[in-house]
Amino acid sequence: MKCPFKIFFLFTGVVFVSSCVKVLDYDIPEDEKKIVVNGIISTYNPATIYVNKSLHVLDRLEIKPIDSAIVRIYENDILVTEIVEGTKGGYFSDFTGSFGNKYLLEVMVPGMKTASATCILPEPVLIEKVDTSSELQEFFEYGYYYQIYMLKSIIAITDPETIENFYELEGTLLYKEPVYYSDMDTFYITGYRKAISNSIIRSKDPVFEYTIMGDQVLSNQNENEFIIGNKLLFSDQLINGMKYNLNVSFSSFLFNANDVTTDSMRLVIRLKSVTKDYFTYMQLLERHLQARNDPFSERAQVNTNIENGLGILAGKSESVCTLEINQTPKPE
Amino acid sequence: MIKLIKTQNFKIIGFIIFLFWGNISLISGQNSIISGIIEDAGSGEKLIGASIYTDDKTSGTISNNYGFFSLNVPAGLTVLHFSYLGYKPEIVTLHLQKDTSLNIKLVPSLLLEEVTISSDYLLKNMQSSQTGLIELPVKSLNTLPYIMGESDLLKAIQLMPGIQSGGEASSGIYVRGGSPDQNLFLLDGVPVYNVNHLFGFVSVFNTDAIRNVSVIKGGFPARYGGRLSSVIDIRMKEGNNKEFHGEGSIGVVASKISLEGPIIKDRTSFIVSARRSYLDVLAQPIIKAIDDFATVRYYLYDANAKINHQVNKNNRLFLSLYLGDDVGFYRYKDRYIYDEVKYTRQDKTGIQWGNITSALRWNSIISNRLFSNTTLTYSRYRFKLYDLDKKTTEPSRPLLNSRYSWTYLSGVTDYSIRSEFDYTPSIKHYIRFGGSYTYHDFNPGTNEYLYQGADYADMVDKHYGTRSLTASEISFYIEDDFDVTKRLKVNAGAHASSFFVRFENYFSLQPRISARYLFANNLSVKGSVANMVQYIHLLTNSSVSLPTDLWLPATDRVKPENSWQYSASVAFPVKNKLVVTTEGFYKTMNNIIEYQDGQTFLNSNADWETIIETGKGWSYGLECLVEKREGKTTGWFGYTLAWSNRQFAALNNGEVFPFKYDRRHDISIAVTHKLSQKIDLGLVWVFGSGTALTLPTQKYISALPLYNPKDNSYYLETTQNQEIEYIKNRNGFRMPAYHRLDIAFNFHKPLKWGERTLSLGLYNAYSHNNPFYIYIGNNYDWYGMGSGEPVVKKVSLFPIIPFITYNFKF
Repeated sequence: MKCPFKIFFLFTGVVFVSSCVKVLDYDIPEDEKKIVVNGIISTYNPATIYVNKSLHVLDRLEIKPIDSAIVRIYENDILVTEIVEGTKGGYFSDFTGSFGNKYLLEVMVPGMKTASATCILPEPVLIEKVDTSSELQEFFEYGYYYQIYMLKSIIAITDPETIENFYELEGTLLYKEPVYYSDMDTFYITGYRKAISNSIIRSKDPVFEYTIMGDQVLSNQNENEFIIGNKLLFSDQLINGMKYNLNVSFSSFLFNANDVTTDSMRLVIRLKSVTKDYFTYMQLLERHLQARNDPFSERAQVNTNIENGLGILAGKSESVCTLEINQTPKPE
Repeated sequence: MIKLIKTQNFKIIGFIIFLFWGNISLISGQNSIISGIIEDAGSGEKLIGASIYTDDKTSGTISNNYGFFSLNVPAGLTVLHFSYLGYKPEIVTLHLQKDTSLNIKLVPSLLLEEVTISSDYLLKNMQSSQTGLIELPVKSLNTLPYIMGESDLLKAIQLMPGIQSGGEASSGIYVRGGSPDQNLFLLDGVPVYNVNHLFGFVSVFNTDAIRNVSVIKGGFPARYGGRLSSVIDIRMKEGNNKEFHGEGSIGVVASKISLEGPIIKDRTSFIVSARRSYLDVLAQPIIKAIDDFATVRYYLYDANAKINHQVNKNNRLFLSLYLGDDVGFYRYKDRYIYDEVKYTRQDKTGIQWGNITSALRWNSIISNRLFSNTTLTYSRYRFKLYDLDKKTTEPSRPLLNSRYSWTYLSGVTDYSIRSEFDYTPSIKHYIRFGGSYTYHDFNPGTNEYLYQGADYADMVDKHYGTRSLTASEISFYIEDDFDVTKRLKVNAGAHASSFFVRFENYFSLQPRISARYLFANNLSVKGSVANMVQYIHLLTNSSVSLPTDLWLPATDRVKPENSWQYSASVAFPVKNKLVVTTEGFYKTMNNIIEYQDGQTFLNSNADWETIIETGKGWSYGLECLVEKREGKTTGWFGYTLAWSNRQFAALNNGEVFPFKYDRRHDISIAVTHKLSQKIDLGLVWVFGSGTALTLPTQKYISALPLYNPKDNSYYLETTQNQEIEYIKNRNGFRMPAYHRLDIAFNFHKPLKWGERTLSLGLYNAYSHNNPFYIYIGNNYDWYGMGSGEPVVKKVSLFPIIPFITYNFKF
């Protein structure tokens, strides 16, 4: 929404005109540094963990990843993988989780307390049906005129009644992109290769309004306001136990590109069931970052499920629907 | 379902009733009642809180909010002393055989003589059983210095111990660790919800229209209810019923004018006052010069009006009205021709908030012992935020025409009827009782979206939030101010209230008791216990007084706030010139609300009840006030030592954290000194140790690793690849101390048609860079030069600011 940032223009103006900013000699005590663990265990991809170390808030150094950690993952209390060397802070396994199982992640860094976290992978919720149609949106902004083709989609799901569900919706386009050859002033397409691109999702569906990311979709003023993470998070607060049709529109620059969309483009819609800790983390993270622009707001304390550390261990499972798009969406 | 709040209160009430009825039996037929009205001899204004005492000072009372008094004295020869600060005392000798009516006209004291203070203020202070009461010297309000010369009632109140401001130049007040919503602002008995103009830099109360201000911080009498922390009872002038007069001022921020006079001499009078800022008018040519397409405006205005009519000897009618608004907007209109098509875009973003209060009041002296006051009131607070965007083409290109609007609305409207009675049954008792009914209509915040795209055909019209949530509030009270012995005086009573909302009915019975014991004629010790219940919450997440704060009712899901406050005080005079009052307090608050971490009213369309947390708070401290109310030099010194904490299960990991405005030491000195008949000096110095502040201690990377099946690697999710600041404790740090000196010289000059006063002064005279807020930033200056390392930065608002104000009276 653009209004939240505009409404304070008068107040900010008053402050700006009359204020004076000075560097303050202020003592922020040195606390013990913490292991920072960001990891995803899912049913569809190998587990990936990223490890770094926190720094004092006034430290001039860049935050550097840690490659010397030992990372262990336990499934239902049985060790399933151990990774002893990281690459630029990343620790990869060939282990993939299963929904309903409990996972324990342990990260050991020499000289620091062992950090650990647990999660239970949620059960995926099936995408039952997707109906699509194409639409064209035209924009005239600040002297620029442009059109965007979009794929309107109605995604049917049934939310399980007995448990709290948290979702992440994203769309990925698989396509073939041209390989160019150029001589002095001419480009030639010599062939095509496989490529992947995230789709932008827009929606006016109220189900998304319960998340920060969902809130962004309400405005139609600015393209950038739709694309945070190319995904929308939502909970079942409004649709618990219901059969529900999610109304979204997928768009991509590929829909407007004449040279790439002629051959078998596919849109992969992924409805991910995510853990509550991760969902809360994403919400608080967003609010935390937003509050940076508002010195009068209380900064959100970002949650963590890492014991003796910071960061988040996310658990995800997914339900996938792939649509064949044989031609660019055009208005009907 | 009826929910009782604190059922054990009934036992306490039972005890109070026992005391009450045990003493009421002392009604004696050998006494006479003297009753009447005390008024200003020059203007006919009724004097609130004037003292009436017998010669031996064993019996006495004070006039009520309408100037009425009723005193039960033994029959026979009686000498009565009538006094009021700033007026010549009056002594009346009577030989009483029967009940007598007596209207007293006190003459203003033109010369500020160094009168011994035992005459009025000390006596009232010593005799009253009320703790935590401050009567603001209204006459000296205009003498004190204020930012940009705009005299401000709330900024004067902030100078009292136990009361502090929210921030630099803010009108928000925080009383004994409470939040701003816990203050009941009554303007002629009508609640005012938002008391801020100009984002809190100016309060809505025009000092020219104010007659009397009482601030109660603790030991609340039973007649008050509905808020936890304070009652600020503001009474407007009634208007001179003898002569036509006016006053006004021309200042840097705003100008104001006030007119008063008789409509029917000695019977009907009026007062009208109005104020408007004009920075927008002055700034408009500059804005136009910078950007011809843009218009930016901000202005405030308010107006007070009151008519009072003496129907007959015993009945009076009052009609009072207040209305005020803040209006700000940014408008942009752009025209553009492209490919022989004229494109027009109009964008308007604005903000508006304001109050309306009105009251129709009927005073009646039913008998010498019984006075009644019945009031019908209407009050409305409304806040609106909007953004409109319209695109048109000529000749029309349908796909490019669109209209978008977003409006956010919140507010509260009250309709109320209230009846109050003052009853003097015997020499030892002064009973007050009454009841009220209020119908609340809340708009807890609604978002309305309208989008018409593609030639206005594709229409989206969405509405989020609750447009109207109604509630009914009924309250009754009874209190008795009675002399148990010559030295011991007790004010005991109870306030019962019921709040009906969404099929939920909350009932509360709130006991109140305060007592005073006179150890000697000049040493008074007081104590009080008060239970308060508040059915209305204010949801705020900002440290400045923004109108975006939401007024919300208690509901079936969000319980009413309640508090217990215990206080004890000692008051004594020093050399018959100063009054020293020392008071300690301990206050607990339950069911107070806060936004969930990071939530604001804007970033969610969720129902407000789902985005708040409920918790508790407590505060305690010691206050000292030294006052000098008469003589060439008047003023006060206030010191507060206090602690205030909060605890919410879902905030700060459930741990206790300091309240944002927890300030350990607070000192204020306010002095006015008459240098000569033509010149006086006003001086204010304030010092406050740092308030609580949230700062991060560490930082780390938030990126989640995403798996890339293409090359069996991972990449960091770029939109989240940002530094997170680790906040160990909410409000775990402290701002630097705040201190400031303001000074004003007032030059008075009598003119043919009246008097003018020219005020010259300095706000923040030694230009101390006080902290407005603190943040972590990078070490760059305005020109982008610097090392770029992370540093703590302090933003200060106002350096030394000179001001000039021209005041006139006729």
